[in-house]
Amino acid sequence: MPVGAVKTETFSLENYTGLNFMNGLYKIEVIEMSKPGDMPFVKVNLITGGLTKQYYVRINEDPSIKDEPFNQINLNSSFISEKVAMIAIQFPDTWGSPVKYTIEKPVIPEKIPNIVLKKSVDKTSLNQGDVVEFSIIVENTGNGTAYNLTLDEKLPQGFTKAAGSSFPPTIQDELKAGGSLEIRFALKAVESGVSNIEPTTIKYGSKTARSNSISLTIGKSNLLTVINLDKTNIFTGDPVEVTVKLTNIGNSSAEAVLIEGPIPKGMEVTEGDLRQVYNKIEPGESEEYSTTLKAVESGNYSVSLKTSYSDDSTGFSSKSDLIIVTDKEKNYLFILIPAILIIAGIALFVIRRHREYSY
Amino acid sequence: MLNVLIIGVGQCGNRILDSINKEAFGGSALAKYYGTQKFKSHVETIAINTAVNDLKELKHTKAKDRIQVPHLHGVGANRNVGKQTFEENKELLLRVIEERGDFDVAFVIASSSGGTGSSFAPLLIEAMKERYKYNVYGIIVLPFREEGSIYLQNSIFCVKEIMDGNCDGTIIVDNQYLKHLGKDIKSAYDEINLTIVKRFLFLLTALDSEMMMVTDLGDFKTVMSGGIKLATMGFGEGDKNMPIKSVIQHSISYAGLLFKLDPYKESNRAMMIIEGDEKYLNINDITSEVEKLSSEIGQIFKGILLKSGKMPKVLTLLSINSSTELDRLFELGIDAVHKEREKKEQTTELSREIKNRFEGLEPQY
Repeated sequence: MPVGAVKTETFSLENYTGLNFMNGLYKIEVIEMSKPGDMPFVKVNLITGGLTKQYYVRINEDPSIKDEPFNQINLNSSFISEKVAMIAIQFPDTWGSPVKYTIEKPVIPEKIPNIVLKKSVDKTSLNQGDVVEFSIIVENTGNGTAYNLTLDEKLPQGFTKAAGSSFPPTIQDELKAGGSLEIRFALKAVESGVSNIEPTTIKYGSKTARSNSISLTIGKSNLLTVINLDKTNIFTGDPVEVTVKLTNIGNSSAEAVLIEGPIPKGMEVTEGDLRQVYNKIEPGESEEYSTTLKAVESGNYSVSLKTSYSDDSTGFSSKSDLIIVTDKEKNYLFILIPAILIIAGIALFVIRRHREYSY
Repeated sequence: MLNVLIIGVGQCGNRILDSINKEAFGGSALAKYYGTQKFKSHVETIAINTAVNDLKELKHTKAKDRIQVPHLHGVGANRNVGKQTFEENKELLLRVIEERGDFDVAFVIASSSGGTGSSFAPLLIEAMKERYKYNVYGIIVLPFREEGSIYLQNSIFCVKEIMDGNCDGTIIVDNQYLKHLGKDIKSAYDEINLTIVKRFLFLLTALDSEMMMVTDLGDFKTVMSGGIKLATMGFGEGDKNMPIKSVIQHSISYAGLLFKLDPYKESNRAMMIIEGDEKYLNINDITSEVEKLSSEIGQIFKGILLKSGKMPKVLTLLSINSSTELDRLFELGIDAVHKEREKKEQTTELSREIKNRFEGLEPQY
């Protein structure tokens, strides 16, 4: 409440206009006006003595200002619109009329969301059948909440959905400023080759954010089985050494390699085993093993083995050269001569005994 | 190790000798082709016969051990022919014996009733006793009584000659007494021969073994020279359920003896060889039985052969000082001689009558 004689004047004030009393002794600045639908008010800054106080002026409210040093005036409003307000000001009559001025409108930064996407995978080189995990980190680097987020993720060529993982991935509706989230999903590689993973897009409002694209190399193993024989013309009873060499000429490791096949009918294994299992054969590497067979019967035989592995579960057959087995002429003399000698010895002994006892 | 000579004379002696050789091979017919004889002692065997066919029948006696007295095919059960033949070939036979080396004891096996054995055996024993220092014993087989008068008379003369000679003793075996062993004549002969052989080999083994109580060749000699220098053998074999007492009793019973004899009355010395596992040989049983026998007959030599796991066996050698059965045989033999003489006289008379009828007669053509 002003002390002493006062006078009251009514001013029409717009938003961001002010009244300067006594060259800055007391200033009244309108900094906000109510919007349509609001209870009408005018927000003013009262500035005096180096202090500032915000004060709401409402229609027909008590005009008195109680706090010092701001209580040198009273404010009352009879009309408030969204653009202008009629404010009656009671101030000491020693003050001259105030000077109206326009105050600089404060620049309020616009709150704009900014979605940034970062797409990554757990591996970029993989084999057919491998499952690759994708990770999309969505970050709102703007200062406004991003609303109505929609994510678009295309199934890349050469991939299929992976068991246990849902595709396409989804995203929550909004993301606050500074917020981030991670979307994960997995896909299974079904075709070999180089696959370019298209960028993930997220639409929000009128904006669209795109992630980086990723290039994946899907390799495939390719085994080559070669069966070598140390000799191809043998006699019955002779051994033949079978050497099997498996080479991975593909660009991916061959896993769970199984090579097996029947023993040729007229032969038998004397050492080793035609069946072999390898856990893994790396690209460019080879595995080799040997088995010794013995010819039992004459005839033409070949060693036929089937190779199957992770990238070829059906398997493929490999065949050796022909093994020509001919009957060995048995040298019965080795058996007959000792047998004859033994029999002759026994016979001589018996004859001698017989003569000894013959009369 | 004893050096033993066994000579089989005549068909019976040869066969018993052949059985001895067969049993030494283990009893198998074919063992001679691959086996070796398992005599405890060093044994030489000689088969002597005048009949070459009898020698050919032998299967387990070496050819070099079969001696045929030349130019004869048996003596036809005629002891006189046999004796003459022996005398003619005595040096040949003794040379054959000497070629076998020196011996500790010799046995001459023969039948008392046949030709060669009956006539050769007493003379051979005498010749050997004259020529060699070792003891010579006879094993003489008495005939079936129904075999005929010639065999009976041969038998008594053979036995008498042996008894009268220098033989160190003779074990007699009576076919008549043992004929129950076979169903027919062949099986009876085979079984009798096998029975003799098994006992004889048991005796030979025992005489050459280390025994718990000693019976040796000296004891054997003492027993054999007792009485009328005749003896016989008894044998008993038990099982785990038969006490040794019963086995001993069996060995001197009619069922165990080779000749009909009442051991308590007709024997004056004995040798008893007991073999078996220690657990079967109750010393009290043995002692009581031996005492029972010795109280009647006098001296008993006993020997015990402990053989682990073996059933008890008892061989009893009994010297004979009198024999009812032998007397009966002699009587039969003497009767046979008389009958033969009567028949011969009748034959001579008939011949004389025929001669008289033909006196002065010439065939008319």
